[in-house]
Amino acid sequence: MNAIVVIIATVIALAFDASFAGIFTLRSTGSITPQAIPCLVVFIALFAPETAALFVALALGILVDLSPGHGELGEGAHLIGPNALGFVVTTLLILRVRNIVFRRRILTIAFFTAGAVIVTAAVQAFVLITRGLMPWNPAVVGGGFGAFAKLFGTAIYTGLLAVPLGWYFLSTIGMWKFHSPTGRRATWR
Amino acid sequence: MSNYGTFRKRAKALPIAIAIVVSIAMFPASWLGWSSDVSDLIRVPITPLSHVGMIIKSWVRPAIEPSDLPTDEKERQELAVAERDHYRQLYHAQMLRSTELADQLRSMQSLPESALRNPMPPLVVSLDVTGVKPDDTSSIVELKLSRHVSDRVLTGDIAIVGRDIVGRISRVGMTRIGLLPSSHKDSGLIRAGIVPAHPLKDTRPPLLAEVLLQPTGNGYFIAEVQANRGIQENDIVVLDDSSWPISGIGLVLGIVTEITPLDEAPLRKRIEVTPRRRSREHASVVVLGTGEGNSK
Repeated sequence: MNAIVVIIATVIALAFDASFAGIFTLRSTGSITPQAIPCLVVFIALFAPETAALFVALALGILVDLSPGHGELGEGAHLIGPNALGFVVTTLLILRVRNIVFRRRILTIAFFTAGAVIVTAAVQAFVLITRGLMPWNPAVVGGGFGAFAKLFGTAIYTGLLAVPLGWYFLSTIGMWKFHSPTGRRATWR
Repeated sequence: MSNYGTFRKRAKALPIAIAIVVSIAMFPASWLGWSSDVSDLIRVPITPLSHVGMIIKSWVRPAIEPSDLPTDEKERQELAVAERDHYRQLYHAQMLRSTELADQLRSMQSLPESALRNPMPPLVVSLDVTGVKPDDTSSIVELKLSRHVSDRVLTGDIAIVGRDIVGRISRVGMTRIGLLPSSHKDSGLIRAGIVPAHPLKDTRPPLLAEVLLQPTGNGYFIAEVQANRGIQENDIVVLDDSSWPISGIGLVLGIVTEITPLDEAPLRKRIEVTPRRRSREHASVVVLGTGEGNSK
């Protein structure tokens, strides 16, 4: 896997999520905004070698956790873990099923991306609840039907964004160099 | 099992890395202060691109301006509006101050400094927004840190857009500045005054009520007022909190957007106050810096 391409894509995706994505925000429906990072995680999980995909997912999650607005703990501190573990679990799930899906279809990427948003959010909630159970941490608050509806909307919107992004990723797949050691490209469907 | 032998050597490192992340996720907040510095460093390559993205975003999809404000068509009109807003803020500041003074007359305290006579006027610093979380109206906003402003902006300084308060500086880091929106839960309770939106056309008193705003974390505030105060929707809520910098007294925190009676307290009403402007919808904000840096 070409690390430079991954780094460039990560920087662009993080910058997109922290700024440019605001163009697509649905202000009238609770500021639902699509995200680029889950598309990148899904794409890498579908094509990269297993261990590399997991490492990249972990790194991407840590970077998202350190992004503005995420995991705020006061005085600028960030909570590292919710997105990092969420992306790892998402990648693990995709790794289990990627051999039985048509990976090179844009719809596959879009569907997995929408699912990735929900799975990541579920892991985030689990991490935050577990963290809140620790006696030294305050109990977590929030959630409810409104938050769930917003999450569902975000998942669908991100899945829609994954259509053009997935097309772009697939059209540049040669640059990513996801070659297996045996070079069996026939396993790509 | 992986088919890719190239990465087998790192297979053991992954569970260790995940275990470390899980451990860190359980740390108390006081142990995670270092994460802000790590975030500062990691954001270095991302911030320029994010900055460009914010400029493009504000150009393609500008912030929704409040409908009751005039348009910016002519420079003269802009100047007149700016002056009017400025003097209206000063008027509100003075009115609130005089109300406070009336309460203090019993103890014969000396006249406190007003925003007009403040011996240390704030330094007006324009800072670009470089990073936001678009789907969260109350999350911390990232501002660009320039070398010449690092000693002029301090934690707690007020950020404004027009005459609307959009937040306070929560942190001045190595490479960026954190802006805590005023509706963020961590802003705490804010003392404010409610004034009519159009004082010249309104027969109600110039100061309708004093309230304690409670940020909800969902982009608006809630407060309780006496039912007989005549509060109406679109009334303006201005800052009147001595714990905030004095330069912000009289600036607008938001407008009353909803008034609901309280069943458990029939003589009181619950109001919702929504900020008219949000920093995340603008490419830049103005910080009323209280630092003492050189202004060259």
